[in-house]
Amino acid sequence: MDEGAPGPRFMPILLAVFLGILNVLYWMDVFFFQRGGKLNLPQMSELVRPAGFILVGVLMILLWERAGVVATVLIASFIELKGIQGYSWARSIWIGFLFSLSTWVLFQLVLRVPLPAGPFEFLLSL
Amino acid sequence: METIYLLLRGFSVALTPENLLLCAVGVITGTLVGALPGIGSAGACAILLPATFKLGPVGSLIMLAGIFYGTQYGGTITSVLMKVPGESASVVTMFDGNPLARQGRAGVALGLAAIGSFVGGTLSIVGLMLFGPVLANYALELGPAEHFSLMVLSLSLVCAFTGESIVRGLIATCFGLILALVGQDIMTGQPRLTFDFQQLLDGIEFLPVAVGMFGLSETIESFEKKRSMEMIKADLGFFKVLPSLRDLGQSFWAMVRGTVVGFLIGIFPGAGPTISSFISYGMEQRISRNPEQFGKGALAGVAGPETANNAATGGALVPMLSLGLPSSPSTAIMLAALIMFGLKPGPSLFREAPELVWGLIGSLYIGNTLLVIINLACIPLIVLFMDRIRAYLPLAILLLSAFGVYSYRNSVFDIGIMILFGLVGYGMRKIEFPQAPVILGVLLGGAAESSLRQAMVMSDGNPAIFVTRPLSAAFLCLTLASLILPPLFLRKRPKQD
Repeated sequence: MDEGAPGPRFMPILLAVFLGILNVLYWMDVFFFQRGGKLNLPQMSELVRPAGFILVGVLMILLWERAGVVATVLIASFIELKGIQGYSWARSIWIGFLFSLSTWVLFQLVLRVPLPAGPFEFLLSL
Repeated sequence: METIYLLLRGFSVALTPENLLLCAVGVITGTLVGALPGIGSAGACAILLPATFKLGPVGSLIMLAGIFYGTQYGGTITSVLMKVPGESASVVTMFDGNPLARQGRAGVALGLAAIGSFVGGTLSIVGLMLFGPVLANYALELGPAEHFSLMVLSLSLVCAFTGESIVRGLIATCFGLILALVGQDIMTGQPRLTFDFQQLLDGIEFLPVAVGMFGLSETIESFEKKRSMEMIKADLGFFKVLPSLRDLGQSFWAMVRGTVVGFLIGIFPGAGPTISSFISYGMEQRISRNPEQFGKGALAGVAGPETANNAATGGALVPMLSLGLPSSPSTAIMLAALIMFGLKPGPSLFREAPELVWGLIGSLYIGNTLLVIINLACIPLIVLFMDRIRAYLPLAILLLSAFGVYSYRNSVFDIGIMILFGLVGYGMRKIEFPQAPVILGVLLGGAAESSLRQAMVMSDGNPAIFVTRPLSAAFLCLTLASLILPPLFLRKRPKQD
């Protein structure tokens, strides 16, 4: 290592010290100057749909390599459209198929991104 | 003379069929994204960045820039017709644009906004051409100490301009800088902050963080409440949106002032289109002979801010291209694109990649011309498209984000990081912490640390190098001023509604 150069711990420690000082200032700001009191937090009932949307994302991560992206997109789209947005069964399945097909064509065939196909491996030979 | 030669060279790059098409795709996407509430220009740029990897640096930058300034045009449509701003920079347009629409003059409001946007956008590119290369030449003289101080100044300005509390901005900046440290140390190769996760050895990539923070968090928030959006019915045919000469005459000076204000404010990191539109509106109201008309349908209240927010996009490109410093999340994503293509953003870019820089400048002229045509002729089509696609937008954003992030490194772990930062971004929105400093911190963290350590090597470990070199000391003084002055100014200002 070069003479006089700070080591790898220098920046993390420097930032940790800054963050410590800033945290103290933040709480002073909140308690002494009352600048933290106008938060507009959502009600619990309003959090159901955002939580559902995040869970669809988590489900996509779990299925991505196991089920392949075609099935993953189909399932995620169906859950999002039917379960969260409340569309009809037919519309949810139809739009799910459309999204599944279009993302496969765009990313696998046009942009040549090697996507996991899972049980739909035959699509790769098309 | 050299500038004209370089500009012509830029046009020859921008006018190739491929780049022309990419420019058109970028500005149309930007217009639609701007018109759709729930996703901003930074989110759209982040989501579509991976899709531009195959296009090469010039094509990628042309398309991303098209999205960036296209959103400023598109945001006006929903502001005027629905009283729902598609973009934060279009909030001000709503104040007078919507009353104009209720008076049956929606076409005039949209037409004036489009023409003002064109004037502001085009003149700001002239400013970029004049100031960019000069600034880059000066910046070539900067050493590591000056570079570090300049990056600190840039981050502090972002904190000063975004959000109400500088302390929150600084905490967000430190958070971003810490994220940039994750992975192997650049000099020794030692792992830092990886907590024994193999996947973190390569660090946290900028892309999943940016897509999560800007693309996903906005979408998660949009799920909270079902918004009812009532659209004002108006005849928006080509001749209905063309303002009369009288309307144009009334708005002429507002556009000129908007251009100057927008360009100058756009240059400052963190300020950008939103602040410039508010300042322009305030200025127009103050100097107007009929200030009581503002809020009831004043033409200058539409023309000024719309011109300013587009002029700010040209201004924002000045520090990005000349200094390698992003002034907003959208320019940070464009800068990240350059890094991903192996280019070194900064003052040397004008010399080392003139085709890229001048090709981009040429495409800005073309894009602005395309946008004014699209926004004068195709508003009914845009409104129809918006209405049809709105319901499926959250799903489309989730899928495009996931595919885009995955395609960068073929890593499911990155999708996880994206969702995690979508949640973090949503949480930050709820507790009113600004997100822009985090993104800029992640992007600049590596370069800032590298400059800091190089400067310390040069000075044999003496940190005084940052205050003994005049330019570096000046940057640090400005940093201090940017952190101390705004709170003092706000405290002295009387409270207003």
